[in-house]
Amino acid sequence: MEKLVHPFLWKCHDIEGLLTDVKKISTFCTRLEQQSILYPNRYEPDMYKGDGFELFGEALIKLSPIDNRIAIGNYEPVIDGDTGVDGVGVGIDGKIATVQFKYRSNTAQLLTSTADHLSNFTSASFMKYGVDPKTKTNMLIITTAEGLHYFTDNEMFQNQVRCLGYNQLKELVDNNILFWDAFRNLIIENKK
Amino acid sequence: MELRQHQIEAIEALQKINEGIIHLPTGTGKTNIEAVSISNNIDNAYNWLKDKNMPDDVPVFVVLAPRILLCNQLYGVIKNILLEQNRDCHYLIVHSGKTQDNLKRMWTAELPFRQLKSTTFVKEIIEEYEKAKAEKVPLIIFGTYDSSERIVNAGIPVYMILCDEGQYLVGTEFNWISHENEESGIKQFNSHRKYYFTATLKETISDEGLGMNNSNLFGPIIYVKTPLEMINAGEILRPRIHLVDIGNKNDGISELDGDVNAIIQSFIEHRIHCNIGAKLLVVTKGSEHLNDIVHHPKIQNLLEIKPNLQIFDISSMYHPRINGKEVRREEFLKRLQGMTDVDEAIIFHINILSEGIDVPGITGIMPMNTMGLSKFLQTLGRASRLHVIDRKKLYEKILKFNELEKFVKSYAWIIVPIYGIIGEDLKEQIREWIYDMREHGFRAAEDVVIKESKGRAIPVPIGGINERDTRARALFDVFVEIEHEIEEKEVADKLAVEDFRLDERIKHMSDEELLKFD
Repeated sequence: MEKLVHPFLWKCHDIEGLLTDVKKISTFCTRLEQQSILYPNRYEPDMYKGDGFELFGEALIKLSPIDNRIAIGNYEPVIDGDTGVDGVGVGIDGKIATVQFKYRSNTAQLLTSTADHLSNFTSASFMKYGVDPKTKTNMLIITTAEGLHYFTDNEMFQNQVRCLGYNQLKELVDNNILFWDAFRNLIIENKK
Repeated sequence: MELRQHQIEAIEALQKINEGIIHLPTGTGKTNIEAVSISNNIDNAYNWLKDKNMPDDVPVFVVLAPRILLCNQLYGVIKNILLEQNRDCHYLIVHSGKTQDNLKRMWTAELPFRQLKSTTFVKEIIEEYEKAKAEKVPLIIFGTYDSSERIVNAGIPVYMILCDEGQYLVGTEFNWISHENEESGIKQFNSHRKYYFTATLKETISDEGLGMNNSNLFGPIIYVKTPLEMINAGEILRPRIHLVDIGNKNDGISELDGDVNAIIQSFIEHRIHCNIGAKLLVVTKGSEHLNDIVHHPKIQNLLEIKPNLQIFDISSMYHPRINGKEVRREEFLKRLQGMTDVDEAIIFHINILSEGIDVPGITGIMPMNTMGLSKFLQTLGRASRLHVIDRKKLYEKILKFNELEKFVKSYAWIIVPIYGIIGEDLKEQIREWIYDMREHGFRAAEDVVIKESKGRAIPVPIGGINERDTRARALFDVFVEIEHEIEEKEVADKLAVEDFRLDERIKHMSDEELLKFD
């Protein structure tokens, strides 16, 4: 059985409450937003939302081993450091793949390299983690924003970074009871 | 956590006085004393705030250390102990490094998760204090001496300061922490209680100088135990010197090649003494020397032929590395402390690991440069920590401190390579080491070992070495001669002190007393 290792699992104010009866990404995000402002002195709200979304992402990747839309195996979150890479695994071609998560409350927003500090992700992917510089598949951004701004996507990243935006996440998990139940089970198992 | 007798005594002594020095050898659990002292004083601190008409404030405790790595280690240990004691506190790191907290534990309503901040900005220190106030929990700050001025500038009321490696406050750079520095005009780091923890008391000739013997600056010594007392109490290991006879093998090769040969031969010989995987701490001559050694083909070759061997190196000039790969400081420390009994390691550093870093598995040290008393004893302290199994058996009284043959780790080894004859420089260095280790009960005849030139493979005490092994006997004679010199000097010093005291007594005697005295 897969194991979740993201520290949010232990740090979350109420992990069961976060997932009880959740069937949609929108409900998950609303719960996350609500919990994030409960104790702002204990856990900075933006950090809380970001960490919570990273835990969701870890579950999504680990529970979707053969889904081409995700296509990351042997995934492990990067817990130490702040290089812009939130997780590392193996891509569809068997080579190193990296993942970055961006939680945004505004689901219509487009991510840009400068405003959303995305360039750290690509440089760390190549320089630190050894992602193939010619890859078109092995750098993935998962976000609750709509997606990447076209200039960032086409001009800056040269279409080398894949992005799963809010609408793709909806397609993957909304009313996908199997996913949410598996996510809840993973949490129960991991907290034992 | 169960406290040891000396820790209980130290905590009690500390409680009776508001400022002073706790002088204990390395590896005797000073951090536990610091943690329990914080825990014991949280209620007192709230009362102190009430007395000062600040009932809405929360107590602030500050733990200071000279280095980021040590600061992070103190944070980890002290926080764990406070959590064990159900003390809910807010934590803050004040130094230029990043500290992350990924403690896996079940947080509860009574002990909730609290995000850790690392900063050197005064504004953010104040913000964290305000958060602690809003949450009505004490604030525990961990900082380096270098960044401690930022805490002072935040102007928050500090109840207690605990200065780890307190000897760093002797001198003009940081002495403002212990007292007002009139020359620089820097304000003192005020707090209600202030304690200095040290294994190597740094004193000056005059009791009125900047040294720790000036009780006006540091307060009195409130608790002290000598290394020998702690060895006999089964708290730390006794030191032993292992001479590694390199002979003339280094003739005609570069100094670096010679040093690398010496390290490899020393490590191979040192392994013979270890019941567990040897873990040798090598103190290099500087950053460049360290870098050259780590990248030397022979060291790289060692890694290839010995899969359970790891090479660690850390210096201020280069990022910490494990087997040549750069890692974060936290990762470096975690891997260093996480080594098992099977693992073997050569750990290269200059001075970052000398103080406070707790790696119980280190079996020996190999100084390649000259070092002062304080640094030598601190470095020796890395190897003198008990093995976890020995500690458990000693505490359960299954094992006695002098049953060394039953120990998993029996000694704190000091590895000394000897090239050709013992020159005057090395003689002087050995003289200093023996002198420094007198307090550890070090006896040259039994505590210096060397491999015989011919015959037995296992290094043995040179006191019992074959009479015909002239080279080993010559080395033994050098040690005994040095020890005698030291003993003679000690006797002479003692007599001089007695003479001085007698003169002083006579000076203040009346004629009548003098007559009686005669």
